[in-house]
Amino acid sequence: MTLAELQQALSGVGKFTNQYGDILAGIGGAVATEKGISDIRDTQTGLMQGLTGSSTLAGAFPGGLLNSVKEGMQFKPFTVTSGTGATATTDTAGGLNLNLTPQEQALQQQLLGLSGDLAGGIGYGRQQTLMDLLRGNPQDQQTREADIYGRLNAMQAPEQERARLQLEQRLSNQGRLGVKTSMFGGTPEALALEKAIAEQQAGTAVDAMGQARAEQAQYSGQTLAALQTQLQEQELMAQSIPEFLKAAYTPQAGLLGALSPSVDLSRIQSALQAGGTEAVSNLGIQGLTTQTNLESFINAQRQQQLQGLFDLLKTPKQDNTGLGDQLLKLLGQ
Amino acid sequence: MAQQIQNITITAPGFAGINTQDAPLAQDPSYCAIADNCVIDKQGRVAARKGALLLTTSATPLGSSEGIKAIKQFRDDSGATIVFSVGNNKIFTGTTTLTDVTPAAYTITSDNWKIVAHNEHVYFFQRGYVPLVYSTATTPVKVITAHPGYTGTAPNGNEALAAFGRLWVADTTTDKSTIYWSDLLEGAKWTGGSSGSIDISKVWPNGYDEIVALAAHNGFLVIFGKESMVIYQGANDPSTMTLYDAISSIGCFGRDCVASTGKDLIFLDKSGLRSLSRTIQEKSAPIGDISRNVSQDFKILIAAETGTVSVHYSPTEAFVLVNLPSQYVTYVFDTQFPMQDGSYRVTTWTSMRPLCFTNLVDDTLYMGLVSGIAEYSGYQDSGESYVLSYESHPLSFGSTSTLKFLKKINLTTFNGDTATVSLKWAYDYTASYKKSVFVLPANNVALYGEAEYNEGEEYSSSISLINREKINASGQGTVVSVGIETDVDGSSIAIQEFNIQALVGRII
Repeated sequence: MTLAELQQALSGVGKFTNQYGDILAGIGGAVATEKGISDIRDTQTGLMQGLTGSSTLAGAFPGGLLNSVKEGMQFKPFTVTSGTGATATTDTAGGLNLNLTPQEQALQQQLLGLSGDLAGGIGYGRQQTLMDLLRGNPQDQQTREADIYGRLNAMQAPEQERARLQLEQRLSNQGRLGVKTSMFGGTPEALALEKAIAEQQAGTAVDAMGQARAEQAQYSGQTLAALQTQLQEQELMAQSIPEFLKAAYTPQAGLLGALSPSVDLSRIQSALQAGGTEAVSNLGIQGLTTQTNLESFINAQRQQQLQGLFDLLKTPKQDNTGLGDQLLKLLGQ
Repeated sequence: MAQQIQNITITAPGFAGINTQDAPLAQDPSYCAIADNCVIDKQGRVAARKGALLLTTSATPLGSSEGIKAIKQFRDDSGATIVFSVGNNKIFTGTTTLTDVTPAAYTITSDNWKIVAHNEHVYFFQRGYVPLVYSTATTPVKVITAHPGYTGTAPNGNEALAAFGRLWVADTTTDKSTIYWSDLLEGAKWTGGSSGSIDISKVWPNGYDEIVALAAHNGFLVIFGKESMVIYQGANDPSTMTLYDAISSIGCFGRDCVASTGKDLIFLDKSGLRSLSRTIQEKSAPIGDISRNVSQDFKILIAAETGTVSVHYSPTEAFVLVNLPSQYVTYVFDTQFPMQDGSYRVTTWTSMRPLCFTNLVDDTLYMGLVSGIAEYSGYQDSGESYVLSYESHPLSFGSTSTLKFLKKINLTTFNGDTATVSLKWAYDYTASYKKSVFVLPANNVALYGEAEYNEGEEYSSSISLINREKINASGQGTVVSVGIETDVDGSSIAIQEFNIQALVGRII
């Protein structure tokens, strides 16, 4: 039941107050108390108005005080732009995006690429390649051996063929071309010749292997010298990698350097925000405390008002019994 | 006016053997036209050959076959001997009794075996047949594949030679140009060791030929083809032996047509009988023909021969036999007294009809006959007599233009022992012989039997050995031929001398 409804109800029964002064006094006291409560509320509203600019705390903080404080404590992203056009952008999550200019990005990629190449050239795989170069390909060596053997054999072949023809002629003259023996296969001379040729070919094969190895050694030596030179170059390049890396990240470092003042400013802003938020929070807490106290006082007045009425109703009067019950019933509603 | 009687003496008539090659009138009187069943004896006389003393008592094992086609006596290191022979598609041992030793389940359809002995073994080779082998240690005769030492594949050759410490085999069904040799001293080992082969198809001097026979002589391996021959030296080591000579247009008539006399190699070419030494020396010159005196007749008979011609040398009898079985004649070439032109004195045998010959280790001559094995011994052929025939060429006594009137013929013979001798003469190239028959006196058997060829007795004055028969002759003509015929029946006989007395008449 609202106050207006109570007043209306009470006004409806004014003629009865005349009859029943105590009752009316009591009612008057209740009304006065009600007035006091109303004033307190006005005071409360005034205070709230003065504090927050709104009559109520909820009006001042539509999203709630906590949300307002929380909102006040949130990080405000900002962007820093360097003199070269590169930007460093923060986000609400605390991230930082560094955006170099296309020229700076190209330079950085180039430097990083060089560094990568240099670093790649120093790895184990490269060492294995170096080993392979120095050791040579066995297949290639065999091929070379076969090539040398073929050439040497080709040089020896005419003499061997002449020897065979001479033997054939001799065997023909001796009527021995058709000789086959279990001991020698053919004639002993043919076996001796073929054996000599085989030995010569074996020697040639050994020579070919030696020559191929010598060539491989020579090649390996030359390769080693070249590789040593290359290694020195690589060493120099390896030594250059940090410089390249450093140079590659120079634009980024510059950008980060340019970010420092903004960070400081942001930090100041954050401090201010934190202070404001803290002040609001404190004020809100104090407002709430005050409002709570006022509400407690109002409640106490209301308790007192109601207690006065209840005390009036404690007097036994016949005519009023019914009315008191009605009021009690009404107030009880 | 009566003319003086002219005496013409023909000493040792026919001493030079048969000569049917030269013009009769131009010939030396020592040549003859016929000397059949004769040999030239040690004294150079025409004498009766020995007979064929048949040793085999039963010819039943030979059935209806041609007879014994090959004989070989084998003597092992212990001195034990065994005679192998082949005939009726069987392998036999023994002489009096032929025992069939053909390996079981081994089918033979031909008897053209070549039997050679080598290092305690006897090997039997015939084209298309797996060789057979016998040794004292591996009796009986067995297929060579069953020999414990057999390795490789033995060639199924037709010709085999045991020489230079190994076996040499050639003339297989499919290969006529390759000679295979076994391992040293291992006739059953045909692979490994020092075995081998030589293909001489590129060596033949005529470009192509086929190996017919092999022979070893004086360190040479002689390879006979049909039309040529190839000689290798150093065959002691076959792998290094080299061609010594290749002779064209002279070959060998058949596998069995080669005989070694020790100092020479006699072989039968289709052009005649030849000596290797003279052939090498003279190459293909006809002068190397040692059958020159009967060349044409000989060649005709050879060409007509359809049987297995064989040439055999008997060192004891000192002759080379050339047997032409289908012609029923055996030419006998005396090796004692070669003629100045290198030819041999020739006689013939016509009634013996041998099929093969072999010398035993004691140089006894064995021969294969239709009824078994016979020994060249005695003066009967299987118990029968045979006819000795001698005819001279027409004799002109130095003048073919004057008539001759034969007055008397004195015939001196040696031995004969009651033989009936028919002396005959004819004039002017005709065969119209006038004959005079007489019987020789009996011999002193004891003297003959004890020392037939001792130096004293045969030239003794004993009438029992030497007989001079004087026969009165008749007729006339410009040339006269004389001859004798006699049955040889258990006793030898030799013609020592003809002494012809003729009256020389007018010139016609």
